[in-house]
Amino acid sequence: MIEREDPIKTAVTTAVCATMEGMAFEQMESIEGAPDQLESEDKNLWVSLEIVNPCRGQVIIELPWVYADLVARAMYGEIDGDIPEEVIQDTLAELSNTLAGRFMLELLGPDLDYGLGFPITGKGFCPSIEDRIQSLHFAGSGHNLRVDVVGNDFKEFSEKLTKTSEVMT
Amino acid sequence: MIKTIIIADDSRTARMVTRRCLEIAGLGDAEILEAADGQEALDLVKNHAADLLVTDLNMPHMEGSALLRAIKSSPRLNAVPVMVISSMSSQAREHELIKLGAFAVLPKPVSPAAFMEALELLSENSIAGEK
Repeated sequence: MIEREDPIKTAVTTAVCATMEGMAFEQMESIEGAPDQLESEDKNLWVSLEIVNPCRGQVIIELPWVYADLVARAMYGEIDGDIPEEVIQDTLAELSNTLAGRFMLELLGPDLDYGLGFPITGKGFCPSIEDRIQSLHFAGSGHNLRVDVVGNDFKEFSEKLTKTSEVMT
Repeated sequence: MIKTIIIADDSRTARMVTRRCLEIAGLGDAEILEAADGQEALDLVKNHAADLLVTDLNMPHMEGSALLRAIKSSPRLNAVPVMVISSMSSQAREHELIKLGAFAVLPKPVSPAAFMEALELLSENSIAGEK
């Protein structure tokens, strides 16, 4: 039986695992069927990064504040007391930048060029996401994290780049 | 010997990660100066005897490739070795940056091992240049 892999899903999963392990020493696990909302609105943090070339879209990461704090502590090392809010947001922005770059590299391969915008961070739930074409959940250190890929342009890319793999059933 | 290093990145987290990688790679004794954009980095390079510039690509005001161009086109500054770190590192862009004068292009996330490898390359290049 031949099953078609979704290249966007594969690229996001590889990017999340490589980025979180490489930057925050987090071992991530992909989870299916997780609830769409992670925590109550006042306890969440999100970051959105625009993909500007060769197709337009966004990569959005949403996670509980407590997990963002834990990731920032892992990256900065020993920090006594509270981490300033702007440091946590900057950490998340840098994670999104690396994750989006890795995602595009995985999706397009090493020969095609791509461009990224600047990350925008916010507290609470990310404002309404239209054209969401992929939403994936991951778990690490007892917390969940959601990655959304937004933009219909990606669908075309997905169709062009879909790989087939033979899966023994 | 590398005594002064300039790190250019608009993210303080990225600058911290780069600083830590450089320290682990054996440059803990060097003076490290930080810039939050390309223009600030260019000003630092002009006013300090930098032995190494480590720059991101995607920055406000002046992006990394413009910074690299400005340094390599200046007779006074073009000897400063430039290492580029970026989350936008396709092979095509890497070749373009090497052509512009960068001695290494490292994809994010960076690691101390990648820095060590790039610094070895820099050391080999400067030994070859002296011969």
